[in-house]
Amino acid sequence: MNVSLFVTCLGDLFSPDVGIATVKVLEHFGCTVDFPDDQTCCGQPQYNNGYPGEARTLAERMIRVFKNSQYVVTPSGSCCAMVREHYPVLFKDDKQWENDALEFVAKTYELVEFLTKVLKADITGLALPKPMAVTYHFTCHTRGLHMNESPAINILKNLGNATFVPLDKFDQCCGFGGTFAIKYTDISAAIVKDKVTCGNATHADVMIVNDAGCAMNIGGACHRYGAQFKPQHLAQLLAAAIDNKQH
Amino acid sequence: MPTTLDNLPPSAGATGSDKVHAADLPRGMALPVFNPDFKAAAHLSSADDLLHAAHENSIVKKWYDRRNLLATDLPDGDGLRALAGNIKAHTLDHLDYYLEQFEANVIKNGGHVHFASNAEEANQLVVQIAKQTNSKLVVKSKSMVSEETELNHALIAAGIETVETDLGELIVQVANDHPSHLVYPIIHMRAKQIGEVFAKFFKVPFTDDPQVLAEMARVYLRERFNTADMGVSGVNFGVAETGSIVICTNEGNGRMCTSRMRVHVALMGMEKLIPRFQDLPVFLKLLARSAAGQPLTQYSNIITGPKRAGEFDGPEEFHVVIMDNGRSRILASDYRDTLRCIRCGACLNACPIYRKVGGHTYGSIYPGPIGALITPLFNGLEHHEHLPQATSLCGACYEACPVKINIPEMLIAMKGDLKLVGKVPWYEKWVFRMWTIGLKSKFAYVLGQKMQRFAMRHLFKSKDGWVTKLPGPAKGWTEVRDFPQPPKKSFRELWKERRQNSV
Amino acid sequence: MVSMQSSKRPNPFVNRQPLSGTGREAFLARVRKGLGHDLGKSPVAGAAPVLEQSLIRQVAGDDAGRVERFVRKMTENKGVVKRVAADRAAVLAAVDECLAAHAVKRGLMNLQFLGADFGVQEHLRGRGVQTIEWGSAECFKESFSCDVSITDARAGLADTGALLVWSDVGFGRSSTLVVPVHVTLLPASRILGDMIDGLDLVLRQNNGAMPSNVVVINGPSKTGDIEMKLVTGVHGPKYMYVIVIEGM
Repeated sequence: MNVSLFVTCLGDLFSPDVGIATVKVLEHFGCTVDFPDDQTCCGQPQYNNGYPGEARTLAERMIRVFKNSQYVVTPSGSCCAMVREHYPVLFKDDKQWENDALEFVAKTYELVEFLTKVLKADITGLALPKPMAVTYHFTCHTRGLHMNESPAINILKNLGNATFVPLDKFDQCCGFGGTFAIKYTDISAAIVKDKVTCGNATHADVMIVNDAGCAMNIGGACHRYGAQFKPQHLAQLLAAAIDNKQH
Repeated sequence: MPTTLDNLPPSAGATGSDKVHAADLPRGMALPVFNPDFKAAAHLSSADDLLHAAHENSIVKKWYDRRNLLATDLPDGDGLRALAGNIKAHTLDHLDYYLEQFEANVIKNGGHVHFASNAEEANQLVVQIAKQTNSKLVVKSKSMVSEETELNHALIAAGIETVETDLGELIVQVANDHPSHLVYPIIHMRAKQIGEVFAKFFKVPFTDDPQVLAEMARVYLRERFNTADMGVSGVNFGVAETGSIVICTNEGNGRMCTSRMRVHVALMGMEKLIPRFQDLPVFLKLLARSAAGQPLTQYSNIITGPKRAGEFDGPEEFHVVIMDNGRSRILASDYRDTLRCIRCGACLNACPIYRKVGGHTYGSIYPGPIGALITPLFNGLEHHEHLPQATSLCGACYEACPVKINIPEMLIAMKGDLKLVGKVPWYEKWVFRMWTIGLKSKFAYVLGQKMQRFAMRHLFKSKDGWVTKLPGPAKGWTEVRDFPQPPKKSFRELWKERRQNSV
Repeated sequence: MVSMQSSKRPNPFVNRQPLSGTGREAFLARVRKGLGHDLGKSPVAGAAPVLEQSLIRQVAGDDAGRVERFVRKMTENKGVVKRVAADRAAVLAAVDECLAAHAVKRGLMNLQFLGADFGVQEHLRGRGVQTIEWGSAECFKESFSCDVSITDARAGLADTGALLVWSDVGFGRSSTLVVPVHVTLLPASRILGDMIDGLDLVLRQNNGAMPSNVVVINGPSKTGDIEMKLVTGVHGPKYMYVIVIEGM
């Protein structure tokens, strides 16, 4: 299976280790991964702030960059949702672009979604290097990807050396919301503090946060206010388990 | 419609903000605004731990109750929501037809129909009906339209005693406060505050026991039910096929107001129609589940016309006042879907912003995600520029909505509309344009990355790999949390190395 | 949803005109204009969406377990259910049980179709209770000071555990509303599967016309307005008893 990695603009700069872990995981489950390095940004900030023209420009570019990909996989739920939910809206009824856009939409997946729906990855035998309590933050955009039952939690429950602890108000937003976090600072702060409080209450070592924006927000609050847990991407846990197996 | 804001009661809600800047608001807005400064109110309420605790105890619980019930209790909760949304969309697309059908059937069953273009007209109509029927005491069950029009003020000004009968609304009326939720009007009040209000109003010793307080209200209101001339109600659903209106309550005050008085006046937003009698199970099975995580309200009351000849109770006269107040403008626009709303409040319960700032912060009687859309639609976007922006676009409201209103999509569209009313600073447009140009070129993008990395690793104040002070427009972030420094190497740089090492 | 990129609809924020005209014609003209219809006439609507039963119906109309389900759900709703055989002694004993915890001086009688079948009114009078019959001269006024009402119901609905009643010459709105204790005598054969069946019954038994007032009663009156603390009997009945009469 040939997979092109869509690492996202935030991931590229702020969490490259998540990108590397994603590649490792995909390769472990039998994929050949390439990285079309012309990629920049899917246009989500432009779209969310009411600049559809600018978003459309970047969307066209994305479609071109991934034209020859069989599958496009991203570790970021929100960027995947941008493509799957909003590209159809951006290109609706556009005779020139609509087909290419819908083709791109059909082949774009979020990592956990791809692992479970397409690869039907079997994680039997994978175990973390040492025992860890893990909780899960339901990143908002997985709502749009119809992942309500959270296959990520299934993976955590089956991962060796990982003890899953449910998070109170697991589906409440972390308060990032892009520009919301800097424009409506006090509200965003109240929301992220709530998330950290809930996280601390689980006494988990790790909170799975499968989105760079959320991770920066929660991580930043953890560092400022003190937390017992660290936000990590599921890809990082799986990559650690894969490394563990190979040794 | 108030022509000045001088006699507006102070907002006694948990925001603590009781400043109403009369000079900032034009006269005659469709929705009364009791709190025009969103940011100032949010600053206070987002730090209000008591408000947050009250919400945890109420709406957050109801959110999870709703979720469980929809998943376990209905054959296909999601499918039913889609059906409800389609029925509403169809009705709105043919609203002229259904309004006429509804009107004909109300009249056929002995009722009267009045069409009100705005708040003033609606109030005039109700006052007129009261005067014509010699009604001196009016009892009201919950009506959001009557809050739009501030009907109580108009009736009282005309010398007609008016009493709210929904316990929460009665407390709001007596406390001179404003409701903070579509369905639970006093979610922001503690029992202690209510106790103080009642002690003063009923002239009795203070108690904060909910049972005793409710009993005080019950006795007081029962006396009013016994002597009232006219009942005014809202409408949850209007059925076009039969000319019926449906009122859903838990207390039974809606039934009292519409069974025991000579006159019943129902206020209905034009968008509340559904086509057929058998559409009712679709909506009744979704309304209480969405609003409260319970299968039905205690009473679902379907009223068709006044009492029939020979019946021993029921109103002699039945009137429906159908309200526009700007809904026709919304109908004509790209925001037509907001008119699907059945006022269940589920989106409020779902919303992380609402949970932290509470209803009063939104400033009008329609708070939460749906309020963020319809308040500007009713009043003009230039008066409510923050409402469509104060969102994290998490989508919980869309998940919540029993009629599948795509609230996030419309919030984004409304953000775009801010440019049309001059509420976007010129430099913001410039920033987004330049940013986009930068992202079109790999070279510019990579250069931008390197500059950002340099600034964050070497220029800005930081500690242990975290930036503690960001400059300019981003400073809001570091006021309340740290920002990660970019690692030494970006993904694309690591990828290149990985490639080189494996060759 | 209409794509907002390519829509031709007027923007509601730009060039906002005040609503023009008052009265019916102006109102309908505004709606027709907004829908892009002829200003003078509303075109007939096409068919409304098909009501897919599999999405709506929770209990089959002929579900064999519907009586059990009704009893269970009504009990969950805080209604007290008693099941008795269709004989006079059993029914009267059940009525006595329902009233045991309450001080009953005046009772409102509204057994519309069960009538004198079980001699309930006689029985209450025998116990020293003053009875007022719905339909008697002062029943409207007197109902307000009764302690209990004994009524029947058109149907029970098993999906949520509810009673279905409607008003006409023989049945009052007040009978199931204004008294603190409400006792319903419900033949088991009247228990229907779902609300859909209940609404169907309304139209069928009224020859397609509508009664003036239909109520689906899903339990005793309640509120949680004050700090979400449950308080019952706010305006409607505080206590609901349903005597399900089997074999009838």
